[in-house]
Amino acid sequence: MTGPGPGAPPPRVRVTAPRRDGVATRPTPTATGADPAALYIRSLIRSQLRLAVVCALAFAGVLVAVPLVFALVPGLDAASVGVVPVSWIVLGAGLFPVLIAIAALYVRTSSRNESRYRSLADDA
Amino acid sequence: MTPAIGYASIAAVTVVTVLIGFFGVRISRTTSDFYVASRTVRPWLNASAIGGEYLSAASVLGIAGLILLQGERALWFPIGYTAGYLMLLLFVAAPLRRSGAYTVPDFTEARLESRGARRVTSLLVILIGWLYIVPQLQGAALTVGITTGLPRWVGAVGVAVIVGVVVAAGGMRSITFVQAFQYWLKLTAVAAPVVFVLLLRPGTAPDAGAALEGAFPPFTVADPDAVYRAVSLLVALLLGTLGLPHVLVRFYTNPDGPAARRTTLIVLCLLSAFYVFPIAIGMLGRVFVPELAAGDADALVLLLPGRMLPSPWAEAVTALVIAGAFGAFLSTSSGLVVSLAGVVSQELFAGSVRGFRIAAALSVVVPLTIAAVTESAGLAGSVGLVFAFTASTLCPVLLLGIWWRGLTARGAVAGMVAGAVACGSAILLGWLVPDAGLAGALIDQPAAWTVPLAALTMVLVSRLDRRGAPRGTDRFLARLHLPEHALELGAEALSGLRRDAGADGRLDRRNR
Repeated sequence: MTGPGPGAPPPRVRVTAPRRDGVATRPTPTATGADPAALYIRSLIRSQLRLAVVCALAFAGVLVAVPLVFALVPGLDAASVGVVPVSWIVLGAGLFPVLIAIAALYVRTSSRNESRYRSLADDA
Repeated sequence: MTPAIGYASIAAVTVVTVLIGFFGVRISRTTSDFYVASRTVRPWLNASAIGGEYLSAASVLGIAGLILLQGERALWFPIGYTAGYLMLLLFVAAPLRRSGAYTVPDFTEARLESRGARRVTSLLVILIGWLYIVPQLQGAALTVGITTGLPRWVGAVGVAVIVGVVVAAGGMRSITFVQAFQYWLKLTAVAAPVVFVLLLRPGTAPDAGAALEGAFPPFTVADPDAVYRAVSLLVALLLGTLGLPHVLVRFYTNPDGPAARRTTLIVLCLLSAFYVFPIAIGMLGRVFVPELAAGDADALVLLLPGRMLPSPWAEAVTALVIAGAFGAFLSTSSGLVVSLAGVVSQELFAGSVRGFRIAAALSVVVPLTIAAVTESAGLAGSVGLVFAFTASTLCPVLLLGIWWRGLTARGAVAGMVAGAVACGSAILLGWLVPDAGLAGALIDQPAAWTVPLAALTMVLVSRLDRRGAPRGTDRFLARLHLPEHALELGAEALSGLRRDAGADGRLDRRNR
């Protein structure tokens, strides 16, 4: 992954997102100053952070809730699927769909945050 | 077990890996090729490659072994290994891709505009890579010992030599395709024993209920020591994934931030699909072959097919499992050695060809020495400690660097050093003093206190730092978080970003 010819690491080359040169020029977006562009950037960063923290806390909540429920309702664990108790099924397979659901929700919402930023920036 | 199966499988997977590795050089030769290729790498292929590189000895062998040994406590490992990618998705994936940084040292230098912070980060990346390769070599030693009957060191030395020579000779440039193939090989290898056992022995549930009572003990949260260990382990696994050098490098192949997110989502699905099987193998092991827990529990995956399947199937599935396990050692180790050798040669040898070869040799010799002098304390556990170390050092610098504009170079360095010293000494103490009572939990699973320690140090020292955050911070953060289209608004916008982020200039100069 690192380099050119056999054994030689290449010089590091900064690679940036593909850009379209020569499209209409606009003021450089920055996060400083009092102009609306800066405000929008800050609010985008803040809303993305809030979203990420909420998703992380949701998953942490599930992680805490599962053992607590089994501890508080001991009868639950007497139930079993075949020979395997419910607690083993939940921990061994049940948490993965939750993970994927939270991740999918995050991917959608974060893109929505970005398109909201785009429409705000375009209006400005 | 028939040694012939072991020899044949190991030889086959090695030859295939080496061949594809060398042919891959022709396909992907330079960074620019890599970049061009990156635009065509679909998220699915890229996600498979990330899975292939990530699923190491700990996942293929260690998890089933630990479930056999410890029961339901071990179930937190696969959950943590997978959920690490949720954290990566939430906090790091898109911004890191947009930063344009190829490695963590590149990122810290660009964000903090400091060569010193870069050096400290590089040092940590090297240390983490070494520690991560150790359990891979121990897994290889175990596999070769059990499947061929050769002395164990042969396996560790074998993998080290193969990986070292192949990487130093210029092969195995972690071609996306090879690593993607490795994921599917490993998935087949862990799925086959489960599928065949369930198909071929449908009515074999043991009749004695007493045996099952022991196999699946009821759930308990009464023991504070166990609760602390579980929490601390999850902190390590969830946050440790954020800083793994060989994983982060792969995100670079995504064309843009949203693609990085989609890739991570697919990685989550692939890992979830994978981990169901080691968990199932662990459970099968507890029911049918609990006696293996007394010996090498980590060998459960290798031995289960032979114990449970009728003759032709047993050999076929065993061969597949050995190939998958050995493939895991080769792919994870070579991915790590490539990223390590890149960093070492860049830092110490100014990136020369000879330097890269020396660096590749160093990258395998040091872990081999560590593997020789330390006893394997369970593969999943050793890898868990590496995650704790990563979570205590690189994770806070990435998180704060991406989300907090106040982070300064001094703060970052102070926090990384504090986390490294605290977590490192806990790991060392754990090796020297195996049973230390209540303090033992704090030493065995240090992440729950070392991660906050490192993060707090970073925040406090940054606050006290009179020089404040680097001048280019706002622009750099805008670049990390703005959608690509917003940056594409004009070439001027981008060149403005470049000019102002001083570290970019430094990077460019070094590259000339």
